[in-house]
Amino acid sequence: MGWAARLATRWKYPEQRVWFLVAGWVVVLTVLVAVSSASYSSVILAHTSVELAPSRTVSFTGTTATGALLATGAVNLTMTLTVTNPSSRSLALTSIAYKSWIEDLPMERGLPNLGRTDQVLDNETGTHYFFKAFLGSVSVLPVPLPPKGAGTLTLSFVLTRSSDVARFGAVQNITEYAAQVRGNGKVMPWIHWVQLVVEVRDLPTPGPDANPFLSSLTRIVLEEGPNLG
Amino acid sequence: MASPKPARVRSIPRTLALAAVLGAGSGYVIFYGVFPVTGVPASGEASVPLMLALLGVTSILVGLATENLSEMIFEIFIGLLLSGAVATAMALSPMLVGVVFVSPDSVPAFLFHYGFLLFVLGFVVDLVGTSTGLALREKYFLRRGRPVSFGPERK
Repeated sequence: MGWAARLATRWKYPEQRVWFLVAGWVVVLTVLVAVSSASYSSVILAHTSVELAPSRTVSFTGTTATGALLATGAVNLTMTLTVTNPSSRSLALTSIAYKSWIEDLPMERGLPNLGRTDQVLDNETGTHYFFKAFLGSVSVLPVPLPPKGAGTLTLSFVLTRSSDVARFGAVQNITEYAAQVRGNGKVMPWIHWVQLVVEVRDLPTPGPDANPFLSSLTRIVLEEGPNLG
Repeated sequence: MASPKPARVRSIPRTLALAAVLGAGSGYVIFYGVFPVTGVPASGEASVPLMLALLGVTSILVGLATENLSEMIFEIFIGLLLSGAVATAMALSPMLVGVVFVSPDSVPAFLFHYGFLLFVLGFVVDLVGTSTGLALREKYFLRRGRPVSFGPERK
């Protein structure tokens, strides 16, 4: 007697019909549990596996022969942000925050009346002062990061006298000093920090009353570099 | 004629099995209520009608398969414990792929904190649903002629 025949003979007993229904419902519940767990695991995997590989270049235009920044010059910060997505979720890079500091040699030498506030970095080579030349946060057109793929975003920021006179003046002062004591004003060390927000695009947006963890589940925050403050 | 002891012993696996079904249903509902974006169907907010339907169908089916009131009470309380275990296991499922995202110790407390109302809802619906199922069983199964008879209450 085949299984279908055995099932048919047992189906006529009401109590066994109930157990068949319970067994069928257990299958449904098992599928729900398995699919939800797999979906949750894939999101968590995305959180832990997405990687950011940034590169930045700082260039100067409008300088003297020794690299001192002129009043008509500009400092250009170009960031290329490559994000790899090894997970099975569809992601998108949506916003970035950034800060870049230039080492403040005049402050380190104790020159008076500089009129600026620096961040102090202590390491094995001593105490260093860094001036925050660039900072900001921008929302960008979502850069898709397909499953098992990658996406790249290139952004440029320009510091000029007209865009921010105080910061430009400080950078100008630093390059002038470096040009005098080191012979080249363009070679000062920089420290960069960047923070990216990557959203999980194939998940619904949590409601306004959602628990905080749920909100953070659909947003992946990536950071690179030291944030001096 | 079977002695009462074997019948009682026979009821233990049945009670545990039905409690596990209740635990699976309630555990899924708790997980879905706390993480609706990764549930089935995925949504920004948990659907209360869907949760009630899942709990209701589960508990009525369990009630239909339950033989008596004392079994039902055991099933509900064991199911309540198992629901926490199922929800915790689901929240820790990323560990199966080698990812430890949060401290495993904090997961049960997190689920209890954000899913407390769902535990209460699951308990209440299980109580009402299994009672309804048991009443339906009494009405439709036991008062009609049955080709077979087993279980401790049918002597």
